[in-house]
Amino acid sequence: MTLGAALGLTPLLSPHNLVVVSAIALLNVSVGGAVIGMLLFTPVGFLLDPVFDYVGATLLGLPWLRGLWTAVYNTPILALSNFNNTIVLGSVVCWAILAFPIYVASRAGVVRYRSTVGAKVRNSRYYKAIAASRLMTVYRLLRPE
Amino acid sequence: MMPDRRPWFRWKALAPLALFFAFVAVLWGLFADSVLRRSLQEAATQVLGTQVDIGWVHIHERRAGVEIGELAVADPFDPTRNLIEIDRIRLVLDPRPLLEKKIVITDLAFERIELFAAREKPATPVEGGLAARTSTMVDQWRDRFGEPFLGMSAVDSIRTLVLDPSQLASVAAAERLMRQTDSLGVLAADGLAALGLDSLVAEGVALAERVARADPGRLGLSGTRALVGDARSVVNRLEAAEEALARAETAAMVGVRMLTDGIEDVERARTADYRRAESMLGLPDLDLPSVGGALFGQVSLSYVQRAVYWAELARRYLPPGLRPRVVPGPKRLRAAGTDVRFPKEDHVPSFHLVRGEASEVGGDTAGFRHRLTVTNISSEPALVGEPAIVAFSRLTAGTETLGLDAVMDHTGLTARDSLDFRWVGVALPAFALPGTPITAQPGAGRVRLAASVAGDRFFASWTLEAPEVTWLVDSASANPAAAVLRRVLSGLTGLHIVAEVAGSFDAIDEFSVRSNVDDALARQMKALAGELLATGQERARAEVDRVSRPYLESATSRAADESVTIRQAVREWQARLAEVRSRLEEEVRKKTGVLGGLIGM
Repeated sequence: MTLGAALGLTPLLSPHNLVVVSAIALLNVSVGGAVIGMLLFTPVGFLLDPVFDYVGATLLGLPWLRGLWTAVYNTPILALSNFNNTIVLGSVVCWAILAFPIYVASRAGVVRYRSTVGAKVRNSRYYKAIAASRLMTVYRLLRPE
Repeated sequence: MMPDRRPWFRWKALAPLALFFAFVAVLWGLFADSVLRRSLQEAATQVLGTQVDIGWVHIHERRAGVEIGELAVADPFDPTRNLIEIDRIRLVLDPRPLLEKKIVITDLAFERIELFAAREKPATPVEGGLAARTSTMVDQWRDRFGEPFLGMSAVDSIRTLVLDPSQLASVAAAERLMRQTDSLGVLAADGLAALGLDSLVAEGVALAERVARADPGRLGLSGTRALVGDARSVVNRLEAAEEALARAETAAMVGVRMLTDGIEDVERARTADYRRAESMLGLPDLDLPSVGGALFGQVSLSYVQRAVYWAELARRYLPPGLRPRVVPGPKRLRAAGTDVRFPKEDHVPSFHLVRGEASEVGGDTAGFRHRLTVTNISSEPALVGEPAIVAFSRLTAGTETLGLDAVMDHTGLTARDSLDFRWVGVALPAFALPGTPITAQPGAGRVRLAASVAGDRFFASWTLEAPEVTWLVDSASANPAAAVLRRVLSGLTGLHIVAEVAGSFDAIDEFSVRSNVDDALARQMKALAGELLATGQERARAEVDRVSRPYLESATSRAADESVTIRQAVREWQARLAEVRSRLEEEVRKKTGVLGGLIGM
């Protein structure tokens, strides 16, 4: 869910999200959780854009970081990251700060879900219908082992 | 409890991930051209502040090249035509800077260039764009300098003029003078009364008679001494009164001078009233500078506006120095934010057009040849270290009919630009003379626009030479001044205008327009309007005099009378005091001649 939050909080069509998508696919994490994280945090990202803009503009304007940004801006491949954009930089930094709280909260949420309504959902007709479909076969490929 | 031994990686997801990237690549192949076309179109429209249309774009990934087709840039100041149309542009990019998201165009070639072609649909104005902002700025200059030809509508008639006293400054001044006169008269009278001169003079006269009648033998020594003491005391008081009167006279003279000044103020106010009444009649102003600016200021500014537009464009997008630059971020569903560029020495700029060239020969009917060279256009000129140069020429039968040379040196901290635009031997567009029913058709002529910019300061000069100018007159106009203007213009074999503008981008300091029409027109107009002007001036003065004369005469005569009265009163009192004092002294001297030693006088 934390990696999914990155897709939701930061502009989706940014190069760093290719890394995030690759990480979601290759790391042994729940793709379903990532999708839920993305869906949950996309509206939050839209709402927080002014905050991201402020954070990004502040960071890009810090004189003691100018050397770093100049290096990033003029380094091949790294320059494609769009980190010179206030929204991209601000949202990535904010996500990095929020990543651990999101991880802890989502983990607690999953435990609570399983202990309360999880069994009921698994026994529902809709869940069983989806579990029997071909969609589940694709999902199983990406399910945590 | 067994430790959690779940693997970190999910290798079996490699295949779906590869499929995902392949899908992204397919999307790129399918839509990259149209996405780039739209992005380029939007960006160019925003940058130029005028509608830019691009028919198609094709990306050549293997050759690091791009082809742009059917490019049309609308004229920023005339939405019905295109400034330029280019059939095909071929760009060759340096691939390495692309990894730094920088665009370096090493070669640029154009195919078929068309200038000033009519548009099928008028261009959509770009709100808040550079062209709109430049227009607003030049409109402000126009309001300040390009006054309409005010005299034209007024030469044939003089409006009726009926004034009332409250409109005239001279009446107000006269009333003020009368109030001053009244208060000065009261003050002078009060001042004289406060001196108690009447009683003092009476006392002096009575005492002088007493002294004259007195017999020192009967009064005795002590009686005579007391009488002489009384006389001496009155003489002292008379002397003191004379001094006080002298001071009162000085003060009164200040007041009299104020009244004299007040009379002059009234005269000045009357002169101002004459001018105001003349302006109410709408009498024409036929000074030479106003004729040139009024007739040709608008057309001059419309050409100068183009120079300002391109200079402003260069100033904005070719900034000097290497400081970080903030530009709007890319448009997306989310907020765009801003991009901060961090140029670095010895690195390539974000955008650099190294060289572009086009040479095109027109068809048999056109018989022209275009040549365009563009060098070193860059978003960070300081990194390139060489000025940007744009040169365009259109040769018709071997002669240049259109030429443009622009050098933009933004490599240092102060940007320096120069522009030279020439348009020779082609039909120049017609333009209306503002405030008149006349349109000028310059025909084949020559236009030259030269501009230079250093930092925020700019200077531009515009010249038009039209040896075979013709004038279209709206025959519906019955204005005799228009007839004079037409007669003056028809007598001219050609038209020659020189306009000069100097200032900063925020405010214009100087704007002058001279033409061969100015002198002849002003002379003729003055001759026509001379009699009417004299009549108008006479009528204005008569009306002012009619209304203000009673007030002025009353005020000035009262002021003059009061001055005389005050002076006269002071003189009379001075004479009486002196007379009483001398008589008293004489009488005392007579009586004390014998006993003077005894009584100590």
